[in-house]
This record gives sequence, C-alpha cells and structure tokens, in this order.
Amino acid sequence: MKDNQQLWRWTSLAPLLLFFGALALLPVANILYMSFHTVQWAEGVSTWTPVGLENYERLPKDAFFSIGVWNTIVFSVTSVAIQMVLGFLLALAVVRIKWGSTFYKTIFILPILIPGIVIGAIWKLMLDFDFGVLNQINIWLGLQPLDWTGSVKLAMPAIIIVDVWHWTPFVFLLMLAGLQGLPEDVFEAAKVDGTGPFRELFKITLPLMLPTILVTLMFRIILAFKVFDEIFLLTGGGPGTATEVIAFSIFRTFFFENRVGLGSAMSFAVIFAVALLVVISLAAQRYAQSKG
Amino acid sequence: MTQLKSTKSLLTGAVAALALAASSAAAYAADVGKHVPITVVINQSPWYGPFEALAEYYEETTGNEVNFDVNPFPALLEKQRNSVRASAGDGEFDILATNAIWIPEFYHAGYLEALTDIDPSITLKEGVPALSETVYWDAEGKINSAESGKLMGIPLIANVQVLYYRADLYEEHGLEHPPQTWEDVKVAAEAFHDSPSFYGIGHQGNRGAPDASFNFLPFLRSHGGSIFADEPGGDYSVTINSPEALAALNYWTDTGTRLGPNNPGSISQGKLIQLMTTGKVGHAVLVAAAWTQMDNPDKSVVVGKVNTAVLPKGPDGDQSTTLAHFIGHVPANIPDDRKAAAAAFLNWFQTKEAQDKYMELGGISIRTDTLAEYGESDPVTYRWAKPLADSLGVTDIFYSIPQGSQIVPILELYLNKAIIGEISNEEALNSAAADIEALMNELGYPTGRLPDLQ
Repeated sequence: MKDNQQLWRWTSLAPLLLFFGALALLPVANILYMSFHTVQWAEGVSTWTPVGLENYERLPKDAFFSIGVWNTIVFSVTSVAIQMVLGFLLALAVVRIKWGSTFYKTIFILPILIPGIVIGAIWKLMLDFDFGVLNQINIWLGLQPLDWTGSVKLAMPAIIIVDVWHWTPFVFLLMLAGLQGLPEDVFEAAKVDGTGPFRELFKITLPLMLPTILVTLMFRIILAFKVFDEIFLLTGGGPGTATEVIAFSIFRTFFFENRVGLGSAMSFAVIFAVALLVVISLAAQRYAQSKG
Repeated sequence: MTQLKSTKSLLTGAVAALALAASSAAAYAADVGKHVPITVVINQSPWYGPFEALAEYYEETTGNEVNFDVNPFPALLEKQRNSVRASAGDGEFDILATNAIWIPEFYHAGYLEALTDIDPSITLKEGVPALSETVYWDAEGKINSAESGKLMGIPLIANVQVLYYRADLYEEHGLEHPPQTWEDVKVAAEAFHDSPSFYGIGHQGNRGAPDASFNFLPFLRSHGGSIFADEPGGDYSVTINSPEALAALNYWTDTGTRLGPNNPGSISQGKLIQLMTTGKVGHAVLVAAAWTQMDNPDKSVVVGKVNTAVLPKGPDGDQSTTLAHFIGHVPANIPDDRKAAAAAFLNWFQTKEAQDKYMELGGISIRTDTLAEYGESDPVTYRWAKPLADSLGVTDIFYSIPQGSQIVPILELYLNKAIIGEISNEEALNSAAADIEALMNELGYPTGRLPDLQ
C-alpha cells in the first residue's frame, strides 16, 4: 500500500519534474557545452570548434575576470553586511512602534518597487559631477564637489551606497516578517524576569531570528553576486577596473566581444560559485535549525 | 538692412529650390514601384527623428510601408545578430542600421546580401561617399574594396567626428577660427579655461563601448600613430606604443586633465554633449550627429554660439576622423520580395531629391553635394554642413578585422587609466600593446610589437 502511494506520487510528479528539470538544466547544459568550444560565424553558419579546457584556463589570466571576481566579493560582502544591519534595525524599530507603522513600511519599501533602470537614472543624475544634487549640497556646504563615479576611490563606495538604498527594503521586509512571527510568550516571560533590552536583543531576538537572518543573507548574497544593472548604468565597470564585476565582464565578453565560448566559461564559473554559496547557506541554515 | 534683404532672398530661393526638389522627389518616388512592407531595425539617436519623417514621406509618395524597430544603441547589435543568425527566410528585419564598428563582423560572417545581387542596376550615386569603402565588400579577398567588392549597403548617416567649438569665445578673445591645428586648440582652450565654471576642452575619457578609444583615435592618427603597422596590408604588428602615439596620448591626457572637467574618467559621449549644450566646455571632439542638439533652444543654452570644423591637424599636418556611420544593409536570410523592397528603399534614400527632403526635415544628408549646397545657401543654419562634407575626405575606420571588438576593451581600459592618472601614459601604451599583441597571437594574425616606451 505504502509502495503504491510512493509510486503514484512519483508518477504524478514526474512530468512536472521533467519539465522543470529541462527548463532549469538545459540552458546550463548548453552553457557548459559551449564553454568547451569557440564559436565563429562565417558564410551565414556557425562553426563550433572544440577547445577542451582552454576557455577555463584563460579565466585566471583574463585581466577583467580576475579583478571582477575580487570586486564582486568586495561589493557583495560590504553591501550585504550593511543591508543586513540596516534592514534588521529598521524592522526592529517598525515592529516596536505603536502608531504609523504602515506609513513607515510604505516609505521603507519604496526603493524596491522602482525598476532598476529608473534607479540607475535617478542615481546617475544625483551623482553627476556638474549637476548632481549631492555635489550641489557639497558646494552649498563650502566643500569641493566629488567625482562619485569617476574616481577610483569613490566609484565602488558610490555603487555600494546605491545598492544599499535599493536592497535594504528587501532585507527589512523579510526581517519584519520574521520579527512579527516570533512567539510573544518568550518576550513576556523575559520581561517578567526583568531582562533588559540589550540582553533581550542578543539572547532572545537574535537567536530566534537566526533562520530568517540566514535565509535573507543567502538571498542577498546570491543577488549581490549577480549585480549588473547598477554597474552598467552608473560606471560601466570603470574608472579603470574599480567597479568591474563578473556579471559585467560576462556581458561584455558575450555580447560586445562576441566570444561566446569564453563568455560561457565565465558564466559557468559564476553558476558554480553561486551554487556553492547556496549549498553553504543551506548547510548553515540546517546547522542553525539543529542548534535552535 | 542689406543683410536682411539678402537673407530674405536667399531664403526665398532656398524655399523655391526645396519645393522643386520635393516635387521631383515625389515624381521619382512613383518610379520605385510597389513593394511589400519592410521593417528597419535602428537605434534611438538624434538623427532617428528626421529619418523616420523621411520614411513617412516615402510611404506617402510611394504607398510602400516602412516600419521601425527602435532600440537603445547597446541593444541594437544583439537584436541584429539574432535576426541575421536565423535560418534562411526567417530573418526578422529587412534593413539593418549597422554601425561602423560592427560592419567587419557582419561582412566576414556573410550575414548580408549585396545590393547589386538584389538589383544589379543599383550603384552608389555620385555625391554619396563610400566612407573608406566600407559600403563595398569583397567576400573572396575579405577586404573593403570598390574595385573588387560588391555594393553592400547605403550609408544612412555619414557620421564622423568633427570639432565642436565655441565660436563666440574665439571672437571674444580675438582668436582666429576655425582652429587649424591641435596646438591652436590648446592655445584657445587655455584662454577659455576657468574651472570649475568653464572648461577649455573636454575628452571622452570614460571606459565605455567605446568612449575613450573612439575619442582618442583622431588624436593618435593625426600625430602619426596607429594601432597596427599596416592593417589594410595585413601587417598586424602592434604600434600603439610608438613615440607618435605617446605624443598623442600626452596631448590628450594633458589637455583632458589640465584644461578639462575635473572628472575626466567619467566623461561619456552623452555627458560631453551635455557639457557642450549647457555652455560648460569650449571644445569637444564629437560625432556630427550631435549637431541636432546644439542649435535646439529646448536642449541648448549655446544656440548660435557653437561652430564645427574638420578635426585639426597634428604636428606633421596629418588629419583624421574616425567613422561612426551607419549603413543600411539587407540581410541574406529574408525572402526575395522583402529584399527587393528593402533595396528599393535604400536606393531611393540616396537620391538627391530624397536627401534634399531629408535636410528639410532636419536630417543630416549623406550626400556631399547636398551638404555643400545647403551650406552655401544658408551658411548660418547649415554652418555644420561644409565641415562635415570636408571631413568625409579624411576618414579612417576604427578597425577592419572581425574580432576588432575585442581590441576595444583593452584600449578603453588603459586610456581610461591614463586619463585618470592611475598609470603613466608610457605604461598605458606599453600595456595596451602587450595585451593587443597577445590577443592577435591568440587569434592567429601575424603580429609583434614595438619595444616598450621608457
């Protein structure tokens, strides 16, 4: 009877699994296959030449890719760390206020509702050296205007600021949902025991929120690793290689330089790295749950 | 009063000539014949508006339908690639507005149909420039050649770089204009420069696709430098690190940083046009198509103050402007009736009558005779026309190899690093030469490079 049920479950799920499997795996398989070739178009037809691991061997030597990996890590770690702290603090503030929480929620989530291209346009204008509002404020304060997107020192921090502005609401929303779902009785008991607010935060709230924090962290790291629109719209990877990130290197290699073999190898390396991040995050989450 | 009268009579003459031209265009248009509807895939640009208006005029006078698929510039290439890579008969677009830097890839890949294979009577009409022979392609010899190649397309805009400068400031400072040499430009830029309220000159130092390299090329070539020793002759020895190239880069970075905006590494083409139209910069090397912004009171605070000139000469009198034109091409993978319709439109587009109408609609004619006539008949409104026509005599292509787009990011990176002062000019050129040589080796071209600059 149990075997029959299992069989029925698998039979009924199989078409859907196959469909989703094909949908998810076919493009990845295609990328993988392409990454072992160079593809050229001549006389209206494409010619695929097998090159073995050549495209992968080229990755560490590629001036843009290796710096892109480093910049992506710096960008992801910094911006996500700031977003996690800010998002959590905002959620904590909103969950505790007695009135106006809907108003604050609406205000805080606004940036996430704006399309990436509009965010790029808004910040491009705001960061403009000659006409941008930030430099107008600087001048008004008697300070020198800053070359936000054209200076090697400032370009990456500027991109991080934009990303924090864009994605903190996402963290805020998940944290808020997590905080609202925490059991009230634990906090009431703590209050009865005379627990102070800091002790409550570090000993009760944070441990209870750990699964939510890990899930949010996983989502944000994965999304940050794929950052493209802000770079494309604001700096184009420059100045120099100050804001070159992997996704932008892939875009240029694939679509501008038309090197689909090398671009595929870059893409597959990124897919592999992101998959690794997911595995690590899930393991961490499981560990946290087992401890909780 | 006399000037007013002569202007009035000139205008009357011009209007009469235009009316005549318009009626002959209508008469000619009737000869185009009936064709199936066509779709042009094109980018959103300052010249698109007049081009679309001209296509509407073609529709009105011939009854043939022209549709447009309009895209931002970065998206256009991929859209065209996807269309031309489809199976025979499945191509989506009938005319591709192909940019100069994509042409080598498209010709080498065999995506396009020669116009003369569609209609043997089509030729490049007198007065229409061949733009360094890029409208011709010899598929056997893999070269652009009017002699051995076939006519592949008709220029849609003869876009080349020209010098935009503030004529009013030249007059204010008692300087002769247009400037003849880069040295003249530097002297004027020094006189005008009053940072941060006004910059003497601006360069596209941004790392783009392309910005810095496209902007630097005319400086390089007018100083006697080049990327390769003899690209048309097949000698791909890298010469970007020559003393001549260094002199050009020294000029470019010196003027760009000392006499330019304080953010030279993030000046893109759009930003440079903005600086020009907002009255913040005295000189800029920009494409001719940017002119449509300069005298438009809705977009410019310097209406009537900006002039254009052929790019100035280098130390030895060399002059160069880089082609940034668009050619209307017909893909090979569309049905014959659509090929015929596309070829008929392109052939009509290059006629004198159509080009006169195009000027009337605010477009930038591809014909040197039209440019010269309008420049003479109204030297104020069309003061850009003669410099553009003259510039067509000193054009150079960015690159001719199909993998040229792989050279662009290398040049962009090192030129950007040089103008922001991250590395020295010598280091920038040596590094660019080393990377380009490695790339050319990898691609199987005969190559080498000059010894490093010290």
